[in-house]
Order: sequence, then structure tokens, then C-alpha cells
Amino acid sequence: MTNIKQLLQKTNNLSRPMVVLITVLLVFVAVQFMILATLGTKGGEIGLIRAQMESLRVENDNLRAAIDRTKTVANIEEDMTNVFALQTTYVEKIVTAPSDQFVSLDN
Amino acid sequence: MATQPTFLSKVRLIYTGMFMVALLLIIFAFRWQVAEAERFTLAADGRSQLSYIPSVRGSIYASDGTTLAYSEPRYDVYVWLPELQFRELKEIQTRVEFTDKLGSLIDKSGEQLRQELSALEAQDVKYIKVADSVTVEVRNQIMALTLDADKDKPENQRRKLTGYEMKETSKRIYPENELASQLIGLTKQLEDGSTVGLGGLEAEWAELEPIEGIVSGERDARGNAIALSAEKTVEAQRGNSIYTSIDKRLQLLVENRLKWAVEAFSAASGSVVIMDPKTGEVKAMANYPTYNPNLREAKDPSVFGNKAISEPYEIGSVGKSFTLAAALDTGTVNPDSVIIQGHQGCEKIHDDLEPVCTHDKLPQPPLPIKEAFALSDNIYFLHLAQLMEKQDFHDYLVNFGIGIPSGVDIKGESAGYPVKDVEKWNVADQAAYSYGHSYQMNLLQVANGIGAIANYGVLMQPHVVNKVQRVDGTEITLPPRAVKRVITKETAQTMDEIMHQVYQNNLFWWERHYDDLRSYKIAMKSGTALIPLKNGLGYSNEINATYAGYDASPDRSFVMIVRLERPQGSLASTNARILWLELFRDIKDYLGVKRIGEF
Repeated sequence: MTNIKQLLQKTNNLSRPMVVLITVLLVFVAVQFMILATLGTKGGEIGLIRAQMESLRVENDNLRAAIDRTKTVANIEEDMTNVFALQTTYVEKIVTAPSDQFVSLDN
Repeated sequence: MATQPTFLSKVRLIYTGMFMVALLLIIFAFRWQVAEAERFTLAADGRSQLSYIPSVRGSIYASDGTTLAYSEPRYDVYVWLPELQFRELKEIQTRVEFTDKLGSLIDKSGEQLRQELSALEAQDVKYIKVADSVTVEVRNQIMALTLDADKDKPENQRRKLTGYEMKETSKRIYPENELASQLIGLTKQLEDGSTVGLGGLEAEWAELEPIEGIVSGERDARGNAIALSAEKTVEAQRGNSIYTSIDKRLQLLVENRLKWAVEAFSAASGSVVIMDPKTGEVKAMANYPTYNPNLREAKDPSVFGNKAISEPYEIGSVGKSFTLAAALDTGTVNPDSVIIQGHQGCEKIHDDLEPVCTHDKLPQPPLPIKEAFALSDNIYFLHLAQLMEKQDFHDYLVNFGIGIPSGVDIKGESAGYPVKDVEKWNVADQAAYSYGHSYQMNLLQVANGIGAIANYGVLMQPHVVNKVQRVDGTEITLPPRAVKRVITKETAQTMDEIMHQVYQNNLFWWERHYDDLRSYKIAMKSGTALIPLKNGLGYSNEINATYAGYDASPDRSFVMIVRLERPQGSLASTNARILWLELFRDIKDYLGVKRIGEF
């Protein structure tokens, strides 16, 4: 009897790490399954989100470009006429004197 | 008793089995990670993707927030023949359907596109560019193309037309065309689709450049991203925007008038700079001939440069302003000092040198220096320079910015030919410096030097950009910066009066159309200099004509310098004066310049 008890005691001592090891493995496998079941199937979704982000960035840049495009010289000329009442005019004739009267001109 | 060894041997067997498994794992790990590491790395790289995402350059704005340059996203369209052929083989779509639909959106007929593809297919080219720089709207239309076979299906169930790829790029657009083109500069698109600045603000301001996005990650066999794979990402980011001090309306007025003057006076070119002397802000900077940066291929590249900063030249008698300011500031003279007892129109300064003459070579009586300045008398000014300590005269010229880069925030400045060190001066140098010769300045340096007189003696840092707006909306304001005091406030005010008299003298009684201009407190000086021959041996008969003037009212609203290169005709030297006065007439009300009596 004593021998049997000792033997069982011995095997218990040996199998305890085994049990722990198997438990850890089972937990690991279970976690892997959970991760695969949740995140592992999200690849397509991630790709889609990334594409949407890109699309939004391009759309944003395009809208900013559209805003910048509206501020053109045509608007300014309209301002000059309507707001400032300015018109570009050119002299038609320049009245000048004989060159000997250009007393204060530079050399 | 017989069970004992059997049980233990089973346990040992299990351990042995586990040991074997562990050993196998180690062997395989060694194989994967060491022995065949290269092969597996390559295989892993195949699943790992590194993508570069371009973005657009920042915008350039005028002082009122309107646009001078901006970029918009564009796409180059390619056909990927293997996919096209695969779809044809599987009878999913036909070549005719593909080319007809795609062609209609890229301004090509289906037939034309088919021929193009066939020709390159015959040469075994697989990736064929079929359209450049299509807009986002066109890209969206292309991406929305569906198969005819699915036309009866609900919209969300229709299959897409495939066989093409689009590569993002961008297009730089200058909505005002020629306006301030040489100041703004250009961009060049590189092979990889990115752009770099060439000249002007585009080259100087690295802040305009976008940050290229990088996405690095692993994909599964279907090409989908693996969620748990380590992924480093740099977000693509458009460039920052810059706000300039360029007043678009003023710039337009200046460019129109400059064009008129260059053509009317048959000049080779012309340049104008208008600055705020109080801040150093460049309000307008124009050159003619100019070009449209949107159509630059059609223009001679020689007009791309910004002559107002890149082409130093002898400024002639405008330099007398610096000489006189130095002489007044050192106390060498006062405005009424008579420094010589007249002259005979020409004077020898050295036996080996040609005599120095006035422009009309006429004798002059004893004159106060302020009158000699108004007459722009070279002989008086060479004597004035001789009265000053050489080192003092040298230092004043340098302090006014001669030969020193102005440091303006536009690419392409050439600082010009400096004043020599005093030890190297000879009698001819001292004489030439006194009346604005033998050194060279660019037009902006002249504007800044004269601006120092206008700004009560303080030289400012000339600049064009006064604000950087980051992508996140934060702003960096770049305040005006005083460089140094060159002359005292009292000297500057004395110069105001002397130069104002020059302005009044320049409005001739018979020019009735300028009557209105007499009531302004403008200070002015002109300069004419013969253009040196290209071989360096003497001078041609052609001139550079310069006029410099500023608002001497308490507002000090502007300093304006104009230059005409090689104007033609018997009164060529007066043409810059006409340009200056006409421009002043154009801009005075817009700038709100006050008349005498209004301040």
C-alpha cells in the first residue's frame, strides 16, 4: 500500500506541470480563436476605412482648391470698378518741352 | 508490483514525446529563422506593402487673402493590360466597352484608345499611361463606370469596369496668370509626381511642400490588411500656406502701367518695386516682359527671372541720395553749404583719367549742396565725397545696403557689386561712388536703401511673407524687423525736404496733366547710368534709367522705385520719370496718399 501511495504521489508530482501546461495551451488556443473571430476578419473593413480616409483627404484638398479658385482677378476687377471706382487709364498724349528746358534732369 | 514500471514508462514516453516535439520546433525555428531566413524574408516582403501617398503644395495668398497660387489633386490614368486581358478572357467585359467608356471621360475616342493600347500591347508593354492630370471629378466618374451586362441590376449590385489604375498627382495653378509671376516663381513636377519650387516664393518657402504619406503593413493572401500586423503610418499632409504682403490690386495697376511704359518707350525691360518703408513689406514687385506660369512652355525662359532682385546694375545718381545723407549725417555739410566755388562743367581728377563732367557739361556757379543735388551735379558730389572720411563714406554706403544681400524671402537675389574696402580705393573709385557708379544694386536694394531715408533713418528687413498658416490652422506671424539705424531722424527729415524740392523741380510748368501731383509731399531722386559693354571695356550708349521716390508725409505710405532698361529715343532718361509720375497718379488714391494740407 505504501508503495502504491508513494507511486501515486510521484505521478501527481509529475503530472501537475503537465496539467498547467495543457491549461495554458488551451487558453492560448482559445484566445487565438477569439482574436481571429473578431479582429482577424476586419482586414477588409480596415482597407475600406483607409480608402475612405484617402478619399476624404483628396476631397478636402479638392474643396480647398475650389475655394482658392474663386478668388480670381475677375473678382478683383469687379471690386475696383464697383467698390473703389478705379479705372486704369492711359495718357494719350504726353506734352513735353524742348530738351534744353530739362534743366533739373539727371545726367 | 508489475504496474509500477509500466506506469512510469508511460509517463517517460509522454515526456519523450514532448521533448521530441520541442526538438522539432527548435529545428524548424532554426530552419525558418536562420537557415532559410532570406527566402522567408522575401516571402514576407511580398505580403508587406509600403505605399507612398502624395499630397498637394500649400497655397500662396495675397495681402487680402485672395489666391496667388494653389494646387489641386489630379490623377494620371493608366491601363493595366494583364487585368484587362484576364477580364476579356473570362468574358466579363470587352475591349470595346472598356475603351469606349474610359475614352469618353479622358477626351479620347474609343477607337483612338484602342489603337493606342494595341500599338503598345504589340510591344509587350503592360502598364500604359492613357491620360494626364485628370480632375477629381473625372476620377470619380471613371471609378463609377459599371459593366453593361449589369445595367438591369440595382445600382449597388453592378460590377465595376476594371483594367485601369490611377496614380495621384497634383497640378499647380496660378489663377491670376501673369500677375506677380516672377515673384511667385514656378514649380516643376518630378518623375515621382512630387513638385519642387523653381525661383521666387515657390523655391524659397520650404513650408509650402507637402508631407508625403507612408503606409506600411502586411496583407493577407487576398490583399486585405492584417489587423494585427505592426503598421507604421505617416499621414499625408498638404503643405502649409503662406500669406504675402503683395497687394493684388496695386500689383495689377503697376503691371499694367509698366507694360505700357516698356512698350511706349521701346525699353528692353522694366521693373518696379513698391514697399512700405515703415515695415519693409513689399507691396508690389513687377517686371516686364513677363509670362504666364500656367503656359510657361510657350514663353522664352529668359523672362522667368525676377529682374527686380536678380539683376544688379549701376543706379547712377539715385546713389547721390546716399552720399548726401552720409555727408549730412556726419556733419560734413548742411543743406546750404557751398563746398566749391563753381566749376567749368568738367574737371580732371587725375592725369591718367578722363575728366568728370556734369550731364550738360555746362559751368556752374557756387551752389549750396542741396541745389547741386537737385541739379544732380557730379562735380559737386565728387568734392563732397572727398570732404568725408573715406571709412565713414564707405560705412554709410554699406549700411544703406550696397553690396549686401537684402535677405528678402524670395529666391534668386543677386546682391550686386559691392563697395571696395577703403584700402583699395583709388581717386576714381571715390569719385564714382559719390554719384552712384562703380557699385551695383538690385532694384529692391535701392528701394530698401531709399526706404531707410523714408523711415526716418531706419533700415528695415524687406520681406514678402508675413504669415505662415499651418495645416492644423495655427499661424506663425512674421513681424517687421528693423535691421539698423543708418542715419539720424533729423538727417532723414532734412533729406525729405531736399528730395521734395527735386520732386517739385521735376513737375514742369507745361505739364498741365501733372498739376494735381504738385500738392503731394513726395521726395524723389532720379538716376541714369550708361550700361557697361559686355566685354567690360567701357560703356555702351544705352542707359538704365531709375526713379526713386517716397511719400514724405507723416504717413510714409510708400517708397517706389522704377527702372527702365535701355529705353530708346532722345529723351530716354526722362522716360523713367514719366513712368514714375504716371504710376503715382494711378496709385495715390488707392494708397490714400495725403496731400500737403491734409496732415
